[in-house]
Amino acid sequence: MTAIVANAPNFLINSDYPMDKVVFQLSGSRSMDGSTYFSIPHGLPFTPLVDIIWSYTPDFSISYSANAGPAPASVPGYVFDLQLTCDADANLLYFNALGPAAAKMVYYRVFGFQPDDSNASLPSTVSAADSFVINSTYNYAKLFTAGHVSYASGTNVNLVVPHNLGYIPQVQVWRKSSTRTGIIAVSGDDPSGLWQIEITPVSLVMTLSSLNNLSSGTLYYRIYLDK
Amino acid sequence: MATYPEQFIINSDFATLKNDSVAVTATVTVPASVVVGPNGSAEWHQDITAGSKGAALRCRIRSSKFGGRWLAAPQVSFTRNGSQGTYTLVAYVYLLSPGVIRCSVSVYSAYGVNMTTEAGTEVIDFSVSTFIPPFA
Repeated sequence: MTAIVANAPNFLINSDYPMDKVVFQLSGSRSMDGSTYFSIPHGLPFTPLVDIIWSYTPDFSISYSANAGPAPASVPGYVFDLQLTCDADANLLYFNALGPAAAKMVYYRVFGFQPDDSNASLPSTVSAADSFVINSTYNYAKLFTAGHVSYASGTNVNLVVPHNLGYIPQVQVWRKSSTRTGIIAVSGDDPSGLWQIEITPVSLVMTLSSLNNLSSGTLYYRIYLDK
Repeated sequence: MATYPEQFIINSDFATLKNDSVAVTATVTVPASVVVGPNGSAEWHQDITAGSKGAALRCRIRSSKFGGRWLAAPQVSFTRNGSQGTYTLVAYVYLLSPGVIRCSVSVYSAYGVNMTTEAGTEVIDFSVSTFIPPFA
């Protein structure tokens, strides 16, 4: 690894590597229970790579990532009392809540990145709510590589993306299946039937040994220099 | 004014994610042979100092019973074998309160009788980076 790459994580910002640009933001609230499902237009000319944070309070003092929520659940058989996901297609964001929780106000925040296979022109997302676009108090994750890999239908998927950084970097992966793209927020072992999103010092390994015939799809990944 | 964000290394027209905690680690040890009541659960955790209100998370989690392999997600799920059959072990990360991230490990039993979890302790390691998303 070159000296530039080896030392890049030591910088708050490094002009050799792109900084994350949040091209989409949405916040809202809605009363939700475990059967809530709704959609909202995102207005982008592509399917964004979105992530969601949600909370039962408007100040987000206790907050959860996609597919997670308060635990243990109030009813046996569930892990979380409520879990919320957000997927996207070319036009809409889809919100899906699952769990035994009774209806309660849920506050959510969704932000998104532009996938590597889009080069669209976009309006600014900087707002008065974010006092500083760049603040040297904080680190800014440096994008080492972003891309996508497709897989055919079948029962097993094993996709390897080399990075050769020599350490374990930050990684996020989204899965596009049919028309919808959602972040892979839950990973697991083979018997769980979940995607294994494994990161090693040299590669990103994305594996699924499907218990049922898997439809074709695409995995979008973002590998950062930062640990 | 519209711009092409991904044509720029840095672009001040677009909001950013401020990485306020980088790779903060935690370890949770799951004891061996824990008795879980009917349709019950058991939980262990370690809290770490990280994360502000509404923090976005990038996490890696590994288990000593999964070859020490890092999985990149804020939640991982493993299948284990107990006295009644298979059960689920879930490790996940969330913001417990501003400045405190909880790294939690739970086991869940779907059996209507007592279940004893696997023999041998299991060590779950977490590596958590938190971000301030661009919301008020």
